[in-house]
Amino acid sequence: MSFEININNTQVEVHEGETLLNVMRKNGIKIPTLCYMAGFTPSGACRLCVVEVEGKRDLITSCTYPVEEGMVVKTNSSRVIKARKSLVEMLLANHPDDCLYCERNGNCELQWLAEELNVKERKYFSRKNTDKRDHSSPSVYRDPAKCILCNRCVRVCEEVQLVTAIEFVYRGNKTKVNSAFNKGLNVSSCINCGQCIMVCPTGALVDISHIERVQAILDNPGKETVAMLSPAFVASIAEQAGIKNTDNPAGLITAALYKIGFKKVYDMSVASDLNIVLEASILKERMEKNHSTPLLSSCCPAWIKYAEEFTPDILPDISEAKSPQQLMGRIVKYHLHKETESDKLYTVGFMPCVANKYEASREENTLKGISETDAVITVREFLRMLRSSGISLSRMEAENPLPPLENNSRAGFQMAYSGGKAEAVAMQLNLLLNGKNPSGFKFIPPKNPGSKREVKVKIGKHEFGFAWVSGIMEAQNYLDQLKHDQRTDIHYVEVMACAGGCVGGGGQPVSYFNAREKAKLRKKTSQELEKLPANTIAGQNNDLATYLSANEKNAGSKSFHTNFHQRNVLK
Amino acid sequence: MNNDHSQVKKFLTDKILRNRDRDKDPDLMRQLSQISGERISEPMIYVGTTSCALAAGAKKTFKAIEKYIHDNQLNVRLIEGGCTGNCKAEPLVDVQLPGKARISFHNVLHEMVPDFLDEILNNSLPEKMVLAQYHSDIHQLWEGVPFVHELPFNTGQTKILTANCGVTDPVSVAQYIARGGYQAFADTIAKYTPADVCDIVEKSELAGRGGGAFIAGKKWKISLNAVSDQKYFVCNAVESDPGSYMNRVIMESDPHKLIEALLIAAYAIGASKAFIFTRSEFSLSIKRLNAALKEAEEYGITGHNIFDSGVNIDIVVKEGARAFVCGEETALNNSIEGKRAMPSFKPPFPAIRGLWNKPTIVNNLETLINVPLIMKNGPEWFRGIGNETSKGTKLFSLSGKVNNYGTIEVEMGTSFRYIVENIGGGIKDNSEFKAIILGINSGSYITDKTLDIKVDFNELKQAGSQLGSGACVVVGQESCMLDLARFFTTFFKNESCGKCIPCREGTALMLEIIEAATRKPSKENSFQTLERFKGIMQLKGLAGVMKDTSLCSLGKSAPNAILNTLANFKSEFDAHVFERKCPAGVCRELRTYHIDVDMCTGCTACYKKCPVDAIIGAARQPHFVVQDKCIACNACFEACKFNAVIID
Amino acid sequence: MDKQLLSIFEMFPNRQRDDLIPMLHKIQDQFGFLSEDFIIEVGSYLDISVNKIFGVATFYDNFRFGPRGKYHIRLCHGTACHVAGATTILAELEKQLKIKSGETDKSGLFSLEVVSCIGACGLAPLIEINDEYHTSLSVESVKIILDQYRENHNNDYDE
Repeated sequence: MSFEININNTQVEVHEGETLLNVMRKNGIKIPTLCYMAGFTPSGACRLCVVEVEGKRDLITSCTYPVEEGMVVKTNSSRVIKARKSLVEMLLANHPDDCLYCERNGNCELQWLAEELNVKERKYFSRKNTDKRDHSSPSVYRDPAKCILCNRCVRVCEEVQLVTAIEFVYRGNKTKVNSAFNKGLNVSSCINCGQCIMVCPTGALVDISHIERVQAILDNPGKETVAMLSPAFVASIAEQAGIKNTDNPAGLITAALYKIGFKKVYDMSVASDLNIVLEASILKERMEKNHSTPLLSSCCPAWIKYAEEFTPDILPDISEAKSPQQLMGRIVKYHLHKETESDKLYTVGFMPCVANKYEASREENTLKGISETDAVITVREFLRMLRSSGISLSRMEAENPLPPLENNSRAGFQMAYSGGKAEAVAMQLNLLLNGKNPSGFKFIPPKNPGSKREVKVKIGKHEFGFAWVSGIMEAQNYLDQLKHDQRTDIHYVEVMACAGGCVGGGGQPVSYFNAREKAKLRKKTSQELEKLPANTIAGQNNDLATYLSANEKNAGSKSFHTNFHQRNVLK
Repeated sequence: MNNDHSQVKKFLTDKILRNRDRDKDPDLMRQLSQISGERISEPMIYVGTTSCALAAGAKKTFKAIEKYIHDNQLNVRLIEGGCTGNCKAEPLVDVQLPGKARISFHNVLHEMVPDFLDEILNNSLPEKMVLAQYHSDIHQLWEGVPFVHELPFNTGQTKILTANCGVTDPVSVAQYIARGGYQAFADTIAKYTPADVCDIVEKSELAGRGGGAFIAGKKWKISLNAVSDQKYFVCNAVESDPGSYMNRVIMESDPHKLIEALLIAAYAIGASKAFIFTRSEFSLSIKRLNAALKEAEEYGITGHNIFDSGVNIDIVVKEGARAFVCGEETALNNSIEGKRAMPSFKPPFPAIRGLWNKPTIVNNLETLINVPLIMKNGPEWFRGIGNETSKGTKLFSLSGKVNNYGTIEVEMGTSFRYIVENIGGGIKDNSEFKAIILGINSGSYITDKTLDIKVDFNELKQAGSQLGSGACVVVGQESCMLDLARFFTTFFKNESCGKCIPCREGTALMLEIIEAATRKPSKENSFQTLERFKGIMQLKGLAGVMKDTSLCSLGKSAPNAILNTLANFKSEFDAHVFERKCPAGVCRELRTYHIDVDMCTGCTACYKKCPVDAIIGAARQPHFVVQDKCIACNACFEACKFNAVIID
Repeated sequence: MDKQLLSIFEMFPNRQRDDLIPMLHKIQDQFGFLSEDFIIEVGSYLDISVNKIFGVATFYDNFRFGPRGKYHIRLCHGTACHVAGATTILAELEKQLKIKSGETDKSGLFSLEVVSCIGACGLAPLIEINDEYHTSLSVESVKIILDQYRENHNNDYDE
């Protein structure tokens, strides 16, 4: 049923059951919010979306209030503006006020609100928050003093990622976001996906920055800094910096990295290809042994940690292939260089992900105490490095990443978004089973994104089922359903911890209000970049083939495989 | 009782509860009076052992009586009973001898027990301890002993809801039925449909006692008409407002009344499950409620297919875990569900989407216990009590600077002056009346100017107050209103759930503003002085935003105490802020200490005691207080034997 | 697992979310406080995140995370008690015991807790020490009462 309501002296047609906020946003009326999350049930906690409704004694929150016939609403009366301003002033009363030194300086919702509402002085005086910071996690840094308790991180962690590593503790003025017993994130069930960072309105949740340590090494003449560019990272930077795919974004970034001071820059695409090749052969083996359960992808470290903590029984189904970042680190440190040099090398992964920081620190990813990847720079951090070095990517002269591994296939870019890797593995499996130059192979994802993310392909005599899920909740639900329905027609499931895959990763630039659109744009960029490589299939990468045959001894050994184990955490 | 347990049960269920013509048989009434304890064959001693009585020492008294009975091998019934509301008389012991009227004794301490029982059990009166006797048509009255209802504390009260309190054995279902209990429920499910019950309750104009004064019957109809496979009824007996304890008294003294009320209410909305949500500190209430529930279940009054009517109602007692905000219905529901008790937004109202998203009615205990009476006597009877605008009676917990204190029940329309001066017996300790605090949750004061206001929803609203929780704390001139405002604001700051910004941050900021006004002047720098004035100027605006934008009523009413202090006691406020003095002398940091040169002997006692070396002076010479250093700890005042330390 | 804890768990066979708070009550009644280990056990029994349980438990004033003293003092600080001078009593208790509200002293003899209202307003100000009430207090009587308890403790020790 639809009827009319009056907003700011304009008649607006609305549907029954809609909330006021939705109606106003649809009609282009800007209403500030802090706790509101699109797609979640509203919580009504921040009160910033209050509006004045005729006949109501108090102001009402538009995010929770359903439209009523004949409503007369004022969204910007002086009473409303005054209330919103006071609310922001209350938040600022105990805020640390160290914007200049804040990670989110200039990209902070609280700062914007203060500016919009004309806050010109500290109106209320209160003791500034001095809560203990938590830098125990390898990926996520928490500064509770800056937390305004909007609840977004808690909800993402619980409702989207099913992890519940953080929760409101204590009550009233003493309320904090923390994990059990106020212990650090490192002993909590946190999977380091960084989705909390992506929804935090202030600087209360940021990544553990590796910029300083990388810069320190760059100045060290005894060390050789090696940059490893993930294709997803390249696509994200290209999208963010507005570089056309034809302008060779990887080349421009490579040039910038040399300018910054890196000694060597490698493209990680070859490691992505290797990962695909490894997973396709594991899949082939499992097929030959008639495994009834599907193979699960292993390239997402947050998903791995989730599985280790919450569903250890499925660990045997997860592919043992190392993730591209670790494969690349291994190749660089132990294959492209002499093993004796490995401690002089300092490998830096350039990733759209904060979980990779954690992954680099996993014990399985070290050899004789030396880590395969020493530091990880996220998209956010790299953009900052560019700014501080005064480098404009568009003015760079493209330089190609170092041989012998500069050649790549589509697969690397495909791994950036949900569904891409599944296709890449399918193509590689086809190549494996049908030999060179397979023809007539089609992998057509369903057009309607709401439908099941599954594709059935015929390779040889067999029909194979490939599926892809992103976001832990979706993954868990899907896997539960598979088990429940006792399905045996799905053979491979690509799992990514962040919604949409790495394009929605926790290391991407924070832009809360258009996060979904941004992720879509990055996916589009990845798909554009995908068209460039001559090889469409991972296994057709000549450099990889040459490399593998030259290092047959290594390739055959377990150096490209890792292992997983159950983890007991506070969960 | 000569009959054994199962015979009593059979009699009460078949002849009384299931018998619609029970009132026509006079013989039944006689039998009932034996079960109810009105007619007895052996002496009965009744000790009020509710929480407030226990605090006064009733447990020891009870044990002493138990020992006496055991030692002397007497055939006496000893009952752990409820509370008549007259706290001042605790420990209160009632004695009934066969054929004699029941008589109450006040302040029976355990050491008095042997002498006391020696006398009374031998039919002689320990006169100093006599309080009053209960009127009786069938028993011999005691000579020269006043009647209970004639006590000054009781004359102004209208005891409808508390009629059984302190009279019956609280847990005994048999006694409750024998005194007319559960008959309303039995008749209701036999005679009326749920819609009828809602209608009757709506017609009675029974208004919610929790604060909103919403007509209960109307609220029930919303849930009754909501389509759902499961509905819930919740009795809100959290009563976490400091200074109110009427719900506790009811639960401890007459738990069956609450159970009956909840059964009727649950039936009226079609709920098969009902909860009584109370505080974990009320351990005795929980114990007695559970014991009473067990007895009721044994009688087939709760549970499955009650009296073969096809009605199923289960009642569960839920313990809160101490959070004031649980009094808010959505927070309460969250707490029952095992979550942090943070209120949810409304609409949707719990009547549509409450516990586990099912239609749920949450009613205050006091509202509910009116229901059996309404069903029994009809809505017209209920409307006849009270005044034009407010119906029924109201319970108060009267305490503070009054001579008589305790739980009182007055008819709506009674003036607060009558409560303080007649029921309360006036102000004690030669003090003068300053204000009545009507519960923290309302933050309202009755001052000497408004003392003639009546207990009436409308009249109070017009005067800018609310009926509040039922706490009625009388304060005298020696109390500082700013100190009370600070106390209230501290309470709200601690009890805010922390969900919404205005309440979480606003209460803390308000407290800081008030504290700035009561902070020691000599410790203040010029910046803080500015801050103090700025704070006071911002107070009203801040309070306005909190009222305007808070999520639940806790945040909306948190600023009331300060706003009402500003409105009613502005001069006291100004004295603190501008003159830096506390007129009542309560705010310690605003006190200044001086040494009277003429009185001081130079004994150095104060000099030695001062923790901050703020006192200077040599032995046998007059001493002097350095104001800048003094922290107003009062140590010098306590140390001085010559009254030389003067507090200003 | 602790046998007593197990018997508490057996009281809640349905393992539902709304069993959480009653279960925490039972554990605290039994053991005096909620230890980390017990919270973890409750989490795995009810299948609720430990972080969530900690969030719930810290919301309510009732739950403690450290042991009580041998004598647990609960000071009523309701409106009537405040008017009657509970603030002074609290200050005296804190001075005497050298602990703040919510703490247990070093010897483990006393712990102090401020509660909002015990509901015996007529007898204000009052404290409750292990179910024993002490009413209409003054600064002097607090000292005497504490000394009695200290003496009781010493007698226990001598025996």
